[in-house]
Amino acid sequence: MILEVEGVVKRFGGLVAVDDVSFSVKEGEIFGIIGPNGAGKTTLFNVITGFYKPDSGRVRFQGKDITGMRPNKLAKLGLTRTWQIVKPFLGMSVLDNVLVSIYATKGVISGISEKAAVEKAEEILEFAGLLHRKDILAEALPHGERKRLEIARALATEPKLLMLDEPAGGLTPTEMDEVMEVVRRVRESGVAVVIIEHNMRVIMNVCERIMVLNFGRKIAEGSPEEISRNEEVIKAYLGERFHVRS
Amino acid sequence: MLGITKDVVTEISKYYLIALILLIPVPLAGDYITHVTILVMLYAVTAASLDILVGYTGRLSLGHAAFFAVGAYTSTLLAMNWGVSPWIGIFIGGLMASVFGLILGVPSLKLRGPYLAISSLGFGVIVWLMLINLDWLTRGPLGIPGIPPLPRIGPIDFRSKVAFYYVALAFTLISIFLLHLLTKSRIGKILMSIREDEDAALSVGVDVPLFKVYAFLIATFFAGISGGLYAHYLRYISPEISTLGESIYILSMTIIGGFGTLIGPVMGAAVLSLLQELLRSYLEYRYLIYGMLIILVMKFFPSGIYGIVQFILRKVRE
Repeated sequence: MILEVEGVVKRFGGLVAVDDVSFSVKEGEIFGIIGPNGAGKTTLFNVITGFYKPDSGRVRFQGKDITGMRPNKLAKLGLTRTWQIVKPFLGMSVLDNVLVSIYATKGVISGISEKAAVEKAEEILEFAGLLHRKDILAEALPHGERKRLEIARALATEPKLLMLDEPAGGLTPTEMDEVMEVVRRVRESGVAVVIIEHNMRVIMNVCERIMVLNFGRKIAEGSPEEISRNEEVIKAYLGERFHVRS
Repeated sequence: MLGITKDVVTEISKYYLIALILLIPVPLAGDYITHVTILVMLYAVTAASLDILVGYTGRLSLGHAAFFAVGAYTSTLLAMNWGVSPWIGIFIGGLMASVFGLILGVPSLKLRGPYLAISSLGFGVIVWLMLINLDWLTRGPLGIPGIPPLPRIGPIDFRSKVAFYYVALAFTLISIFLLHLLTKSRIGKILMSIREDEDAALSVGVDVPLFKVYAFLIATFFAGISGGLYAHYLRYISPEISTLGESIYILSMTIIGGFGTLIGPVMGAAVLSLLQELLRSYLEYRYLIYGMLIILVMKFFPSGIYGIVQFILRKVRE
């Protein structure tokens, strides 16, 4: 298991945003988290990636307890996230956006030569289909490319587990396919992926296992087929029968 | 080193060589011009150092004059009470300014936007009050006259404006060159990522608090050294150099010049100093004028004088 989450609880005042959630992610799999708006998906994400401290519960990454560890430490260990509302470094070039990740994780003062860092950044931009954009400012990128830059920047930290918060949110179907293609290739390179997603087409196509949250609680976990047949899930979330398109 | 390639150094050095050639003959224009240029240069370094905080790291500071003053008083007191050579004292003054930078920087790490501005403003006022009230050390509002000049080197006496001018010139060019390299280095890019989005920077592994502290240390060090040189040049200092007005004056240079460009604040220092000389008889209105200028620049030309110059150069080329 690369990630083990045990009984995580996160409260905001009287509201229990995440209520005793446990799950684990295997090496090299794509794990999906779904649930209606306000189900606690992003809060759970923030707890795992160190942006929130849980009120109780443990998070283990590669067997190591990482509960409450700072996000920058986690990125160095190999657990990196992206943001639902993308946060590119707007005033910096696309190449510099990716270089920041490399400097931050490999060492600013030493650790990697400038030539090697740039080569690596270009390789990752090529992978994300952004190499032809490397010298323009990130603020000039359209939304679809910003989503891919977000993933490229996370990949540059050399994650072992990549946490994607709605990577297809707000995209056109074509842009969505491009992003999903990148996600599949990430998995092929041996990186485990956790995805939060609203778009059922994306989640059903790409995930091997899915966990469903509702009002902060885990109500189901299983393969896409199992989830789409689970009565409780259908009642809570889908509203009607959902069939997997193959 | 630090991601600074030879190409970058060569490209930047060019401009500094041109600046050096242009600035060498200035003393020929007489004592008054030399004097004004010296002050412009000292302010230019201070405004450029503030740009590391404001323009590159996105940390608004309304107390930068305090660090200038800490450098000035440290070097002065070391020279007058313990006979420390100003050549060393100025450097220690820079370090002392950095210590004060830590005192402000560490507790305000988590503050953003207006809260950070207010805390830096408060810090500046505290330093000013200390300089006024610790009169056993600083002589209070009377200030300290008779500060020793830079010690002579062989036949060169730095009480002469011309001799001091070349010290200030060397200091200015070297300081701004170093800050310029910093902005092109890995540290510069990391600082910019913090300016653009702290959370995103954290999520890709940037130790945000650590680098914010670095930015404070660097920015305050250069302000402190400028202050030290100022003290041994004018040979009189008073708490007036650390007032809120003075901090706003420095911030105006950075913003009106064009923050986040490093060279813009240098231009800002030159333009505002010139303005101040021209408007000598209307000095009481100066903050009114700076305030209006800041609003106009922010509204119509956020990239400041630097942006206007670039815009004109582009038009000329076309």
